[in-house]
Amino acid sequence: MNLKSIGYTEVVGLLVVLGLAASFSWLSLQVEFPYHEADSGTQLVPAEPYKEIAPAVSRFMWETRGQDIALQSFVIFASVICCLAMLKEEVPDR
Amino acid sequence: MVAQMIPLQGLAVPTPVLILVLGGVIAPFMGLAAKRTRFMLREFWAIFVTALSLYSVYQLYLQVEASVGHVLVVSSWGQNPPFSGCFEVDMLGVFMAGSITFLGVLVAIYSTSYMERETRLTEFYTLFLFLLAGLVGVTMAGDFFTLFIFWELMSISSYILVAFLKQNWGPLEAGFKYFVMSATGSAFLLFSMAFLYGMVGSLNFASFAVAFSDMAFTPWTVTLFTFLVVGFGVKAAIFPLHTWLPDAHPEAPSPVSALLSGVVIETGLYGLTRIMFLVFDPGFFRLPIAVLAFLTMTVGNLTALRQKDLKRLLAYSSIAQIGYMLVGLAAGTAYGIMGLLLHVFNHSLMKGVAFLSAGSLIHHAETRDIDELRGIGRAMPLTSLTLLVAMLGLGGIPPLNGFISKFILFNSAIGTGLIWLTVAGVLNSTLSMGYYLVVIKNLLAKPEEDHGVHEAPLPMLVVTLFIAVLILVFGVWPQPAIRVADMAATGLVENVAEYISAIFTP
Amino acid sequence: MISELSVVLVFIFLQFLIGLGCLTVKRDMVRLLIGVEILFNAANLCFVALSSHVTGFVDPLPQSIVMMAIVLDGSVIAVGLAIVINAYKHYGTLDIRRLMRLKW
Repeated sequence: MNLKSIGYTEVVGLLVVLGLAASFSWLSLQVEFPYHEADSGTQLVPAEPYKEIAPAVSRFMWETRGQDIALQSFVIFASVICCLAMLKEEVPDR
Repeated sequence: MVAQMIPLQGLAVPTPVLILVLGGVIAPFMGLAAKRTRFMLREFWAIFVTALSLYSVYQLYLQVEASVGHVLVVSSWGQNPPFSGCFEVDMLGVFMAGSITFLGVLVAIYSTSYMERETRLTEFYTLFLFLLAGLVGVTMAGDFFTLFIFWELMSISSYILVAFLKQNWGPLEAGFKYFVMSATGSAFLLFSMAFLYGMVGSLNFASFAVAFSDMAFTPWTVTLFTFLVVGFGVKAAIFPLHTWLPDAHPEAPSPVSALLSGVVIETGLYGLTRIMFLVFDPGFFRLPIAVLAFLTMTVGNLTALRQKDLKRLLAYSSIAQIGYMLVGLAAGTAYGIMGLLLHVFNHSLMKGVAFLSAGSLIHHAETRDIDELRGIGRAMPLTSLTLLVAMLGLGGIPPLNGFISKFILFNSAIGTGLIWLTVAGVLNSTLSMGYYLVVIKNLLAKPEEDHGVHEAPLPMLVVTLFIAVLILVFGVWPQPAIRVADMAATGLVENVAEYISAIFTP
Repeated sequence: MISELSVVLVFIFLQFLIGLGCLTVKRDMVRLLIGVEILFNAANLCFVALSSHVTGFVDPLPQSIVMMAIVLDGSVIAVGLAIVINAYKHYGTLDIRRLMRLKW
């Protein structure tokens, strides 16, 4: 790869990537993340009885996020219809 | 105040969302039945479901207006909301949902005759209903992850509806480009959700309002702001992220274009507005949003001047109108947000009728080029009249409703010291009449050969005439829309305390 | 003092940059879909990284959100693949630089 093949856009792209990498690494290492600064008490699951974490999280998920799980099933249904729409042959219906 | 709508074993969902989702699930069976009996079951089911959802949005509006503090909460299993997914319906949500379902009914009636000769109609109407369900769900969500689920439902339906006429190459390329950009935006949205969770500990909107009572200008909050603007801005077609729109809107079938330009990009803007007012305070985001508004308006209007394709010109005009709405968001006051919401409603009507009547013209003439559509006003007089009304309204000519909402938007920017933005807005509005008048001139010109009057089919004609009459009516008598928009705007900007108390004191 | 959270965030941002780079550089449609998937993965990792606040306790909220987000992202990629399959059937090639027809 000789120097002539590096065009203008590649240089600009490389500079953008380097700039983003520098700013992100400064951001994550130098500046402290405001970790749960505005937190007002959370509902936690103890990690000690190791086998009990999964049933507790599952119970939490179904009880307080049950709505989202039910609605997610409609998203899956919609994506099935999408794939059908894209992959069906074009046969006139009437 | 906690309200449960249709408690289905404790799994409560607001009624319009439930109606549209169940309608979408049953639509494939209607399609199977329609194939056997050769009766137009699919179209009637779509019109029936959307009309029913419009009625239920109206009932929900009455209920919200009658309730204390104008907010209703619907949560799953009646659980304490800070960790459960919930819907919080306030005036803003009802206003946007009303806009969405109203345009949905009209587009459903229009597409009965526009999509007549197409294949895979079952999937079209099913995805149409799921698109509306996703849109209404986004506007009523009270929790960020519930919003994300409906956002994805809306997004995947719209990807395939854009790429629907897959026998040509154009829709496929436009659909793929839209898909990549919009999926990237969703990933940015997930990132911003993660940051907000890290800062607050829950994803509920009311928790955000409580936690961020003062927002300092630290590097992490600037990063959060950037990720949020990118996440919502891809869908709302804000300046650097708008490049999918001029390809996707012309290549989609016309009823889908009307929905996309009329309500989908406004729902992206709704998400941005809601989050901005809950998480940040207006002094924080005034200047960045003002700059973005200026760039979006100018780029949209300047590029539209060079367009030769009618639908692409309307798509660039949509970008410019989003720029005008961002002026209202930059103002940050209740008056500005009222202008934004009123312009959302007016734009959905005007851009809806513009795309629908352009679709009628293109359906007849088989071409999208403005020069080749010269003189079509003689062949299709009523449809060209509706397109004329839409263009005048979009440019902001007084007796039509576009003038009122633009006036409120630019007036609100003056009130908060952004005078340069008002001047830029007025200049852009004047510039936009430049390309609208070119289209009008081509519509009214004398054609080379006279084929006689050959109007559009009846459903398409009736829908476009009805919306054109509504544009005129709302221009002369805007009070109902202004009243609801005002309640919605004060609910968002000033009455945050009631929004919070509806969740935190059940 | 660099906390463990900062180190994990560095890697999450690295994955984010890889995803964005994949989207801008690659020309094959399927590779673009993989780039989108990498971006979604980085966002999910961010949720997981920010979930361990108190030692000895597990916060169930981000775990449930990640489980649901994975399902949603999977269905989005499935829809994208349907579009790509159609593009391949239509043109026999998946190179987006040769297939950009829609101009200014």
